[in-house]
Amino acid sequence: MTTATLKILRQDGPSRPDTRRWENRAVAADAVTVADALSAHPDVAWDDRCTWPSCGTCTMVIAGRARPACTTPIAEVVDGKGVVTLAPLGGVPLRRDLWVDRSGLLEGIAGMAPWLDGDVAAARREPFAAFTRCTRCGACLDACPEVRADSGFVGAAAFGLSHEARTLEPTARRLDAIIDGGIAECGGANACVDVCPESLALDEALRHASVQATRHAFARLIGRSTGVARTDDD
Amino acid sequence: MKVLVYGGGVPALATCIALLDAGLSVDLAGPTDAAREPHLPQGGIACGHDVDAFARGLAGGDEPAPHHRALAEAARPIVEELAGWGVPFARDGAELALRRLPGWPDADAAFVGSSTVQLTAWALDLQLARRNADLRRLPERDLLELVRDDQGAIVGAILRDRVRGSLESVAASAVVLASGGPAGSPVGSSASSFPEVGVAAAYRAGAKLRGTGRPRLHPTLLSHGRHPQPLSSALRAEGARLWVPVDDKEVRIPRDIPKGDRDHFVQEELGEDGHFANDRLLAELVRRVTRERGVYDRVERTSRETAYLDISHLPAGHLAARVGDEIRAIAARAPRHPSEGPFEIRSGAVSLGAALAVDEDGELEARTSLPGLWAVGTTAWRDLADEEGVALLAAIHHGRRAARAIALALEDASDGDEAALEHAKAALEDGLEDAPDVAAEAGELAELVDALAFGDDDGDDLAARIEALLEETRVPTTTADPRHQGLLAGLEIGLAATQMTGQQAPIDVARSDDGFPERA
Repeated sequence: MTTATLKILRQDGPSRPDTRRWENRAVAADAVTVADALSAHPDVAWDDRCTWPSCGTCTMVIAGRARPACTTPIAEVVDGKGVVTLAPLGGVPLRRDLWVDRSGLLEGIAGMAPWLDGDVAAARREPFAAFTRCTRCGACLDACPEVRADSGFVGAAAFGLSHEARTLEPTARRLDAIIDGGIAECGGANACVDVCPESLALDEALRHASVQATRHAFARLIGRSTGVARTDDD
Repeated sequence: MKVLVYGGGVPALATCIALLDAGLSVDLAGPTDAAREPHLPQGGIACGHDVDAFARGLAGGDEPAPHHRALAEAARPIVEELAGWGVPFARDGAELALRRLPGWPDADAAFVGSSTVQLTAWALDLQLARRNADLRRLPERDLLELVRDDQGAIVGAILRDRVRGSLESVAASAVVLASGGPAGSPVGSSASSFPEVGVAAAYRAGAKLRGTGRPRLHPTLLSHGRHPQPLSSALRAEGARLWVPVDDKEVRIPRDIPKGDRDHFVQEELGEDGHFANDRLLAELVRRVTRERGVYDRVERTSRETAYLDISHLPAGHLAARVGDEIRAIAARAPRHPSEGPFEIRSGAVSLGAALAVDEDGELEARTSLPGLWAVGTTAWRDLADEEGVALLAAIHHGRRAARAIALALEDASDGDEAALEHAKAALEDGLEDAPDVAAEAGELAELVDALAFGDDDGDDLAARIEALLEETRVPTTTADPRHQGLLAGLEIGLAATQMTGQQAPIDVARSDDGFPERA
């Protein structure tokens, strides 16, 4: 790799939008991935837990699109002028430079109680198995026009991870969480599907959740149960 | 009775669950969000098919101690329980699909592609979320100091909020360190991630370190890119093969080198099953062979001390399903996709192998040499042969054993000592200083660890170099920069590890009054 430059959107802290600025840094000659290049500049803050595609934390906006820094080769994202632009993930609060706060995403997921019950037969787990690959990296939040517009939508990851296929029956608690999570705000842009580093079928999970939520909301309106087997699972 | 667990990975999560189930209140603090600690083998979780043979293997072929037997017996139930908690292990029909575990002739591994640790952590995190009534989460905290009372017992810790930079004191009747960091890991870490801060805090507080002077070696570090990355042993288990060119001045690209010109040195020296040898044996072989005739760099006209790892003969679909993450990571770094041809690896040290000394057997398993301080996962030194291969299983099992021991020990313990904590916090706040830039020193530390690991240098000279580096980077008390904290921690542990150089049997090292290590 010769004479490439990182163009980094920096900010000194969550409450310092006045310090927002672009800064250039040279890409070291031995750097192959974006994570390699960033690691030569320890003054720039970013989340670099593993530099392996396991944890999702190094996901940032690279050349205009959310992707993990650890598996993105510089050669693939460098523009015609030798520049790689790096910006923090959108749709989540900024901490500093390229470091963002994903705790809201994690709370949104936990709120939907996506734990698997011990008695679920192996056959019922199959449709869910793909969604366990979600690293909670937040790329779907960055891409989502609804999350960006602050509509109250918690983002696709939570719906993927709480996909109803993993429990025997959807519970009232989960269905309430789906409605509170703003499923009605999902505009079906499917931008999350395009950016997901794990290529999860998030559109399918969202569609499923939407159908269930509509039924549940209607039943709630007329004061009836949705016919769920249990009222709560924890 | 409150317990502070410091860590973020599988050992921390498993310990928290067991502590909460035992009726204790828990504060879970760590430098990251929980369930995001991937520095463990991703290849699978050991699941011995013959308990007796597995226990013997854990004891390195000797008569197994009770703790070896307990770990061997716990393997299958733990895997079954994880499956029930939603870890989608690969299956053949209803049965678990198992693969061979390199280094373990008498054990197999249950696995989920090459993401076993990640998905195990995730399942444990969800189990923790179900028990959140008595749990307080303190994420994004650095451990600065462990605080002791007049009698020398641990009464809590001083943490620093990574986002705000503020200090806080947390009182606890017991502290469990599950922060990883077999000390001095030069791989996979940028200047900003040193995992040994927890071990070093315990060492500074007076806890004994234990080690054998035999650092952990890894046979297959991906050598493309800035930082060497350990590749999962699952690649070898799935059929990846190592070779070097027969001609030590070979200039053809690896896929153009015909079979007859490839030296499959692993089968040659260790037999057909050589790729299933343990990490240390294989790492030493790779090191020796690549020093003699590694891959030739035709531009620099020197040998690079690397070998080729080849998976291009294996079916791509099979690999994607079983080691997909590894393939993607290699593809991002290697000059061409690993399915299209061999890529270069080298062997190297992954850590100094020194960790906190703990009780291995008895009622107070996992207790360190300091009253009130416990250690699980790789933070604790455990008498296990080829620990890397069984780290995930051991993390869960030892976490549970520690929780049981703590519940027992706390029956007559007192609550934390608030006065001692406030005093320690005030002292730290007064001493906060600007840290020097440590990027260059971090590189030097990594070199020192490698030299120590392979015995390239005698202990005295290394100790002197580490001491000099420590003097250069030490500031009066503490700094607001976690990278600097991490570097100091790495140096302190590295210095202690020089005391263990050349040791076969484990020895304990403690910090002396003048701040330098001494054999205990």
